[in-house]
Amino acid sequence: MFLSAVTRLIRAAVTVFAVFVIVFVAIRLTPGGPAVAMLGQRATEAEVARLNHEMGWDRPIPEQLFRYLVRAAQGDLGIAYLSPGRPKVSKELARLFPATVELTLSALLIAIPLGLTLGTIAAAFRDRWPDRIAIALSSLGVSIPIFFLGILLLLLFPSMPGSGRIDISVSMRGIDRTGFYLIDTLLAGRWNLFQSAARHLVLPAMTLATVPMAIIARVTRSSLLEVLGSDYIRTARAKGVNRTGVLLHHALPGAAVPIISLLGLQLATLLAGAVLTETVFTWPGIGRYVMLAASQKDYNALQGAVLLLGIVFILVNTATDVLCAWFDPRIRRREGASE
Amino acid sequence: MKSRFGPAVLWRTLPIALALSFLVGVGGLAIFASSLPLRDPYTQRSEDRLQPPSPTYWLGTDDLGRDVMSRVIYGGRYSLSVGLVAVGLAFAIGVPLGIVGGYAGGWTDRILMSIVEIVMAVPGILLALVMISILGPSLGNVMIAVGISQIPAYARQARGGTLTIANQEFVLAARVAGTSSIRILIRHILPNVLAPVLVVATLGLGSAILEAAALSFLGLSGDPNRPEWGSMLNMTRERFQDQPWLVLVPGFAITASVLSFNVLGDALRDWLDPKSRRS
Repeated sequence: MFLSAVTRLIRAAVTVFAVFVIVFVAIRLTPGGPAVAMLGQRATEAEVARLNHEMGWDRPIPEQLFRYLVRAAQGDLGIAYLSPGRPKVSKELARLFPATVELTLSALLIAIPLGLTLGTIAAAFRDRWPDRIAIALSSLGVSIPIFFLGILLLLLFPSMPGSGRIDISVSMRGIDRTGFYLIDTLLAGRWNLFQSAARHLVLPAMTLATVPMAIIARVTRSSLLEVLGSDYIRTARAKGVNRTGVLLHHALPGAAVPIISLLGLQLATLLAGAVLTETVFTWPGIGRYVMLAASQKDYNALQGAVLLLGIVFILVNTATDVLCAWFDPRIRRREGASE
Repeated sequence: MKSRFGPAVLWRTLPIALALSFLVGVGGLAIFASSLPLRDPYTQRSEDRLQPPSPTYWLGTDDLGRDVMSRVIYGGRYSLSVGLVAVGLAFAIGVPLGIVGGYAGGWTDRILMSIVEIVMAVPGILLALVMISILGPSLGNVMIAVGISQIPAYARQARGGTLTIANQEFVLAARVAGTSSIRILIRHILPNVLAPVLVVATLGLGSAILEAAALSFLGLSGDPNRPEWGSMLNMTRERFQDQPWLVLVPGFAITASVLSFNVLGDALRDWLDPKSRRS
């Protein structure tokens, strides 16, 4: 179990590293060179040469990669050249990352219970109206563009705040300890600020929750239906356990593994959703940062963000593996036997 | 199933009929847009700015006085063809990768699948953002980016199908008879793996349109004047409160197209594989 988890961790790390190297090299092979792309066609040769020298782009690419990785290991990701004040990329990422995590976790807190409920109801009322409505809702959920949904919610709830993390009139200065506004405001005992932060979170979190909720509902439904046909469920029913009891205590835990491994895979969906949701709601997080860095061609910022997201990807994948094994003793034993 | 024409049958066939007619309608309008009595989608009429829907302008006008109805109809040309080209690209690269890997096995397979795994590890939108940041914003680059992010789905489906077929007797017989590998791949393997790949392609059309619209919404498809659904939403989203039709029309067009392709894809899968209908 332990060994196979480590093997998978290494595999994921190698994949992410390969992705990062490809991005790193591709940026340096930008047609005309990254400096020209950043400064625009009208830049003079001297300006281009200076930027190339400043960023180290005049050195061989393998050397650049080596230097970058050595510095990255020390927490230095260079400067965001095109941002006002040229801040350090690592500082920017550290500042924005909690915003995205807060948004994503809130979205999951909405998506998981709702998706599970919807999927369970659908399975319990298979081929009847509740099932059909649940299927229709989840089809709509995966088809509606997330940015359109965000705008629709803003139209439907005009009184809810539609941009930023907190009222612009207030400052988090002094109480901004973890970067998670809900936690910081509570720790400082500022109830009105907590309310403001929570209200700002509602619409973006609902928007981001839609796609995962729809997918969780689908998988819950189909894995429940599969489990409900199995022998141990029939035994439980024969023993006299009622329908609800079977569904909640016997079938749902049995269906947990596909749902959890799905949640791990949903990370990519969540991230894509975060880019769009953060753009619609001007939410100051990593998704919006990546989008801005990409469209402004701020390459240092872009590659730093890619590196960070890659590391998050590895961590979430590993956590998913461990959770799956936790929920399904068969996986633990099978992998133990294979070692 | 109780009767042949009971509500259960209707429930299954009605969405398919609606999806098909919507796509045929939107596709037909887009193809024949220039021979329809529509206003030019680019012409600006400053005296008719921000008109609400009316008998003159059925779907209203935008902030530059352009007719929203002709823009959304012409927009179908761009949005639907971006999806088609992206899926075609993913299909043309993914399927050969999958069947060669599955048939050859060994190192070829391992290397090809590692590449596929790397592409899969990158969220599509991140891949697209990086690519467009390097290549520059344009509709063509959006197509390429969306297409590349979809390659893994085709490669894996084709490889899976190939693995089950490669050891069947008719393939072995062809090998014994001295048929070349390329011929076996094209004549024997490809036709047999195509059906499930077509399901992936139909569902992929929906997600390609969605992803492309998202990239245009982020302003990465170049010319913002082009009547493409995602850019239409991007250009008008600040006005959603006062002129809601400006966001509702393109938003509805994207949602309904994606939903239609998803409904058709699901139906196609059920039809090809009755097993999935039961689970």
